[in-house]
Order: sequence, then structure tokens, then C-alpha cells
Amino acid sequence: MEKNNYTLIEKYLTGELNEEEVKSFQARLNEDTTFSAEYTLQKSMNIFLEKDRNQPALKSKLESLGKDFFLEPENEQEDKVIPISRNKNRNRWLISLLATAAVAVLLVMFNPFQQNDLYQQYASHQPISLTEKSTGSGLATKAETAFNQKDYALAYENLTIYLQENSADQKAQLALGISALEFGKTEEAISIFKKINTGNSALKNYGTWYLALSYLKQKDFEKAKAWLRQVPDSEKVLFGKAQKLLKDLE
Amino acid sequence: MNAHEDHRYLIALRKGDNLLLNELYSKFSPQVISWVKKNNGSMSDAQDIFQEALIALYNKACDPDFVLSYPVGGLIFQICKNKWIDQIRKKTKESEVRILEKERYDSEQPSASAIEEIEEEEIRQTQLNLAFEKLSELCQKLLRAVSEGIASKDIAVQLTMNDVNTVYRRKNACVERWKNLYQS
Repeated sequence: MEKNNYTLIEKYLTGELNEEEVKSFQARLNEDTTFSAEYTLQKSMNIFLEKDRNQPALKSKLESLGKDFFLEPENEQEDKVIPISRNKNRNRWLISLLATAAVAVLLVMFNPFQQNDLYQQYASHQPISLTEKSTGSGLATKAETAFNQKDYALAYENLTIYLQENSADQKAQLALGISALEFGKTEEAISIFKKINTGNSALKNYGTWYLALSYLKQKDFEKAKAWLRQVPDSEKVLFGKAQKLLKDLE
Repeated sequence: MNAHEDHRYLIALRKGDNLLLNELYSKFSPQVISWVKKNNGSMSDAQDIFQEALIALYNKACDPDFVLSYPVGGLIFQICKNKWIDQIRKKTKESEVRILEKERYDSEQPSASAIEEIEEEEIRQTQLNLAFEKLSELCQKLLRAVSEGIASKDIAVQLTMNDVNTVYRRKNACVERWKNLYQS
């Protein structure tokens, strides 16, 4: 394998060739199969090295997502756990019934899941990532860190400035909305989520979900329910949460 | 070919974008789960295969020439199917495999070449990995440092090499060695 080719390919990949050189490089790729095989291998080596750096982080992310989405259906598990045989266990049955009843009474008396706590119960926000590997601006990193550490006041501040330059960044807008919501600026949060919800971005449904959460926080349960019903079932996790919250509200 | 809007998922994989990764799982895992379960697999088989498929996609996400021109869901599903068929082939009877095998080749999908490309890359990556592990520790460190974009003069200091020229020379030698190991 020629050394010159190696350098030439590297230059092509890093964009150091001029227009003419790029043209002749690409022509050579089409005609010369040995050269094109060399090119493919060299690219794969670069991919390997990039992956080598990032794979541990990616894998742990995928593993934790996997745990959320590859669940055995709940009823199947319960079937296995609760065997019901008749006579022998009647007493145990009675005891567990009484225990359940006692818990129910306690729950009615000191309901820890009252509706004003429902917001807290459902407001768990996923971490965001705004920065690209090497090009992330200091501001984006700051906003990201503040948000992920739940310092919503600081996140709100940084995101506001960041969005002045990057107004199209949908994730940042969503994060700004969440920060506003957590920071007590619920009205502003609602108007941000409405914008996301009416737009056509991938985060549209998050807009819907967060609108519901905003109204929940304001204890406007009817509006919250109305938005919850609009979360489409194609969005599996959000849909599941929305259905559960709907039940809790009824 | 023009990029399909789903190309953003590849960018998300490369960047580790949580929201879009989440979406990949929520949109495309159910189909894989039900297919793997129908074909004698467990939930955790489905999970492993789905994850492997995403990593295979990630490889191509790092390839500057690769443009996704098809919906990503179909690609993931097909890659998962192929992976499961390969696994079953290893442990079960021929007859079962033959039935499944049809699923692999029946469909004349337009995306067949993209799938092939993704699978070829995966094989290349496995072999490159084996070869890389056979390199000396110094070579491994050097190649990693270069790829991270660390300046040659700093690499020289870190790896106690005389000067920048030595770094270049050693790096070229390591790359050659890596290629030879890969091709042997």
C-alpha cells in the first residue's frame, strides 16, 4: 500500500484538498478499485477510532434506554408472582385483605399522592445534550450542565442567551420551557410549549406533554387532561405516562 | 441520493442525543420485540439485538459518505432480523433457519444495499478491532491520541518521543502494521 495514498486520503477526508484535487480524487475512486478499497479501509479505521472513544458512553446510554423499553408486560409478571390456592391460604388471604384495607384507609386519610403532588411525581426531566463533541460553545455547555444538575434558574438564564444566537435549536427551546416551568415562570413556559407543540419538530409531542404538566402545576386539571388526551400513542413512553396521569386525575 | 429526514437519527447516535435516542427506542423497539418473541427469542434477546443494530448504525453515522435515504425504522428492523437469524443459525436446527431465511431474502427492498453496507461495515469494524488489539500498547496510544486531535508536539511529550517527526514516522508505521494485521 502506498504511503502517498494514505496522506492523500487523509487530506480528502479532512477537507484539505482544493476543488480540482477533489474532482480528480473522486474520479479515481470510481475507476480504481484498489484505491477505492484503500479509501474504504482508511475511513473504517477512522470510524473505529472515533467509536473507540465514544462507544462506552453510547453503550451505557443504550443500555439504560433498553431497560426502559424492553420490559416484560406487567400482568405476565404478576401472574407468576401471585399463586392463589384455596383452602390452605385462606387466612393469609384474609390477612392480606385486611392489610390492603388498612393501607387504603391510611391513604384516604393522609393521601401522599394528592393532586398538588402529582406534578412533582410526574415532572422528571430527561437530561439534554446541546453540544456537539468539539464545537460546543461555552454557553451551551453551561446551560446543559445547569439543566442536567437541575439548577433551573441558571439554566434559564444561559438558555435565554444561547437561544438569541441559536433560535432554531428545538431542544434548547424545550429545555428553556422546562426551566421556566421549574423556575416558577409557568405562563412563559406555557407559551414556549405551545410554540413547540404547534411547530413541526420532532419534539412536538413533548410540547403536548409539557403543556399538560404546566396546567397540572397550575392545578387547572381540566386543561391538563385535555392536553394529556392529545399525546399520541405512537409516542410510547409519553403516551404511557399521559394515560397513567389521566387515571390519577380521575 | 438525498437524505431522508430520518438521517437526523444517525446524527443523534453520533452525538449521543438523549431525546432522539429515546424516540428511536419508543418508535422502533415494539416491532422488534414482537418479531423476536414470535421467533423463539426472549425480551432480553430483543434488547441485545436492538442495541447491536443501533451500534451498527452508529458506525455508518461516523462515515462521512453515508447518507440515509430510507426510513430508519425499516432498516433497524431488517438489521435486527438478520442478526437474530444469524444467532439462531448458530444454535438451532437447520429447518427452523430455513423458514426464517426466507424472511431475509424474500423482500426485494430498495434499502437492501444500505443494509448490506451497514453489515459490511460491522464486519470490518470487528476485524479492525481484532487487529487493533494485536498492536503494541504504544501504537494503540499513539493512534488514539492522533484521532483525538491532540497536537503532535503534545503527543511527543506524552509518549516520550524525540520530536514531531518521530510521532509522524511512528504513526505511519503503526497504521501500516494495523492494516497488515487486518489483511492477514
